[in-house]
Amino acid sequence: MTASERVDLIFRESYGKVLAYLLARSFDLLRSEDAVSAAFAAALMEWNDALPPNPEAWLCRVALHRVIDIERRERRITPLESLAETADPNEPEDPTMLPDERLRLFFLCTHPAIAAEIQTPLMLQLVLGMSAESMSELFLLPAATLGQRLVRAKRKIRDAQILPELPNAEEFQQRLPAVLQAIYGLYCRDWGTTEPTEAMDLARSLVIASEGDPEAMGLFALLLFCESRRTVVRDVYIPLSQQDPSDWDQEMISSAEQLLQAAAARKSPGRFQLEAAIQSAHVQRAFTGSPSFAQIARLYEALITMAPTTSNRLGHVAATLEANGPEAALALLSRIELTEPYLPYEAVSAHVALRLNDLTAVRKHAEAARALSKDPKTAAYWAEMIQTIQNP
Amino acid sequence: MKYGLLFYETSAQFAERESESAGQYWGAWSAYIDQLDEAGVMVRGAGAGLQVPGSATTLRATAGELSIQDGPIADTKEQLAGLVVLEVPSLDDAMAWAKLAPCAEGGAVEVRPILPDPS
Repeated sequence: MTASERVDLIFRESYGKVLAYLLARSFDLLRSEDAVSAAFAAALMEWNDALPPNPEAWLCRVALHRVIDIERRERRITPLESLAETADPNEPEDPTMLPDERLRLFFLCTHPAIAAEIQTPLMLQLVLGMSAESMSELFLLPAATLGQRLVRAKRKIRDAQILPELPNAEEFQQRLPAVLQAIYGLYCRDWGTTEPTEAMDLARSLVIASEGDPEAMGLFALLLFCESRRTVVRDVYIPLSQQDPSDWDQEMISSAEQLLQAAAARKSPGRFQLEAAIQSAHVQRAFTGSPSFAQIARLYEALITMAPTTSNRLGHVAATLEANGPEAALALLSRIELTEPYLPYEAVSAHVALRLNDLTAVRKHAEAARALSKDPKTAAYWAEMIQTIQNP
Repeated sequence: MKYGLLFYETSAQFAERESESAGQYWGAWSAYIDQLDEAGVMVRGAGAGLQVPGSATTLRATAGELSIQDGPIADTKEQLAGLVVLEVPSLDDAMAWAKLAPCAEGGAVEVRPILPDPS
């Protein structure tokens, strides 16, 4: 790995942590962002030979120095300065120990005084360091427009003094879904490339900060289930049904089951609890043969009423394929309309076609799936399937 | 008689606050406020300058349901930038002071009589 690749990787993982570290010390948002960028630029210059022992602490220290320098230069007489004076820039606390600060950064972005449509882009930018250019396609907005709206939101946070704090109980409930969604998105982003420890840490601290909110527990359980299998598919892609359950991390599975039970006891079902329940059912089925796929399909039906996303509907199709056969699955599949090419759709379609023995359709969907696979392991899986149907 | 002078600025005028001409912009305002103060017509502590409209949050309740909007009350060409309260004999005096405000050119100044003290 080259120095710049190393810095890139650390940027993905640590940008939000370093920014949260500065914000928690009451520095101005825009200035803090500049200081974090400057710290990463310095890392690019200085990490040629080897990484420092704790790269995040290094970045926090450099960014903190930077922001204090700017504040001093401008001689701003604000409470911020006194805080900067008392902080010892040589020994920042270990930022990895403070997931709460990052959680506050998420909640900051969900403040009701910030326009709803900019909250998600703002989270992605502040927590993950994504640029307006890289998000422009995702939000179907020109980069310049998105950039202006982001700057406006950040100025508002600064000028109106919206603080990075956890909201009171009532507000917390209202703002929680957006934060859960963002942590889930963060997990999904890192799943195939790096260790998604940041998302795991955040999900864990959200369970604590929310005093055991059922959906927060549901999300953490869901991530634990996904994590329990992640190492299995690290080198080659293996569909769930073909994995050996004894390869799965039993400790994570048992923690996830406990969380899910604790959440269910609160009797307030929700999207993430259902998704975790589906994972739990898959795991149990692999070990004991029960519950049945019919039960899993019913869980999906309930999930779709809460979150009718294409991905959940495809999960329903896959479970129906096992429970009721390919015709029933094909009927459900035909009702899904895509607005853009989507890998899971092609994958499920290929498996349904395989069961119908419609090799033309298998080939069509497998080729589409291969073309859409960004991960080489997944692409290899589809290439192999195409090979197999050509030379049976 | 008390009058409120409500200062309205265009987005171009607000933008001056963070531009190269920021010094001139703020200089004109402090000179104006000093002038009011020295003439003894301004009620001290009754006015304020406001941050840019983008920093505003607007709240409305409909049948007990609160809605929160990011931004000022309406997206108009001119936005409220600040206000002062003057104690002067007549509307003509208040208007005479209003037309000297830095935002009168390009923006607008609204002169509004203030409700008499109920006592």
